[in-house]
Amino acid sequence: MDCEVAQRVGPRHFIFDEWSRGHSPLHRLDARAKLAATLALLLATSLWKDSWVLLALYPLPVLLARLPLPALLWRAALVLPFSSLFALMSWWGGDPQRAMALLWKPYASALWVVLLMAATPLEDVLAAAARLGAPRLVLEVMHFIWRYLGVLSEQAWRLRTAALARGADRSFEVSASSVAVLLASSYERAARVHRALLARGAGRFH
Amino acid sequence: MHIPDGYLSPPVLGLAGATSLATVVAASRRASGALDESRVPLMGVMGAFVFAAQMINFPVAAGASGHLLGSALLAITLGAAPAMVVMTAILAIQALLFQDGGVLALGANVLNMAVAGVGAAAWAFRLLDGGRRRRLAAFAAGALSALVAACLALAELGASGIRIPAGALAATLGVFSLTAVLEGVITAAVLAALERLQPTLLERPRPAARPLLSGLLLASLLLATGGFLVASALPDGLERLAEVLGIVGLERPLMAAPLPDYEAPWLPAPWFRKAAAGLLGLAAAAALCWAGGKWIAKWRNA
Repeated sequence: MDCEVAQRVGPRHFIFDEWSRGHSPLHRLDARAKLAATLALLLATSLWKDSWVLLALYPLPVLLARLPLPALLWRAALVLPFSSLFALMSWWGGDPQRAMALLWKPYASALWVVLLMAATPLEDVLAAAARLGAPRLVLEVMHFIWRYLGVLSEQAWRLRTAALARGADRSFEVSASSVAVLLASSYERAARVHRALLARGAGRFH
Repeated sequence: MHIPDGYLSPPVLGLAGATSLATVVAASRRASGALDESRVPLMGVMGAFVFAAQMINFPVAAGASGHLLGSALLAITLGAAPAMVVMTAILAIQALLFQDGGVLALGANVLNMAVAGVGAAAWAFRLLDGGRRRRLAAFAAGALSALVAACLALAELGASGIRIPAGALAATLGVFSLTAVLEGVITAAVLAALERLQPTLLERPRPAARPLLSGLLLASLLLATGGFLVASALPDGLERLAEVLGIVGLERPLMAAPLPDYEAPWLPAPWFRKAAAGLLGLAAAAALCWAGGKWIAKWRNA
């Protein structure tokens, strides 16, 4: 994939591919253990009203895995626009204590999820989820989405540029036909992918 | 609207999670049973398509722009069961890698967008589609999927005890209605463009529609969502209803103290109990509808 396009379309999600390929004790730990620990921490954050004390431990695994702490803190801040909106509403509704919880709980939860995904490649997380009993078809579809996200985003970016050149900022029809072109070519791409898989001897998926 | 972690109370999380897990397991069984293996790459690529299509902006009045949400378009092109699986996978990727929606709240988000959203779109499209009405059917599918998902999300927040002032609730509902109309218009426009581009893509054999049953299911879904939303906004009326139905006595031993720590000072206990009563009522109504639907289907097939 064109590097410049990759930076434009997906700096938000390719960063995890970079972080999760590191070498550290935390990266080497069994993905099932990391997944279970993350779920336990999320449950604790959700149920225990003083669970912010757990965050005092957060720098420890981050430094152990040699991950950039400020970047992780910033990454988890993606939840803040949404959660601050509802915190504001709750404050306005006369419940300041709940408003505070609505603000920090999503952020604390996101921090733990970011740590899991920064220390574990997605395919390992999916394999762990499969061994813990998650529906397999959903996990396979997730795998394919991740594989083709960059490819289709690049194509969508080109379509978007072409559509803007044809006046998509004013015309609904141009945008609609761009999406339709992307959809039809996704169907064709899926057929090619399937033939390529069969040619390489892939059997049934289930 | 993706609900983050830390918003929903344990009963809401548990009920939503159990419902969506059961539905998604059934949907993936149906999707992999009825379809050949070439559909697995198709489902994956279509999931990536929804992400990528969101980069293409649609101009709305006054310089603002919107984008496709996708669950209705997936339901129309792939069918209900595969679309539910794809939407679930999209929501899981968003929760893990985009910090969009929580991981524990995934069950609730799947229920809102992948189960109810896709289900409403599939029913509406199947009910209305036919000849020249396809644009209307696509619009209804898109608008309903967005509206049902948003109302369910608000209802879950309400049932978890998050009180939204009346003014803010009205504004939120207004924004949701506009989003729903936009999603309907985008879905219809994309489908029309797709039919001009590649008319064969949407031609696949459909099972004979059962308009009466679909209409009943759609109406009950809308009623349940709207009624539940009103009930969460006006808990006093709900309490009266619970008293009339005798749920209050039933719900007390059930909700005694499974999680005493959770009844924190900031969570008023009566409200919590009311919300639980409401959820219990909804579950009972859903079970009744399901059983009734089964019975009707059996009776019609006999």
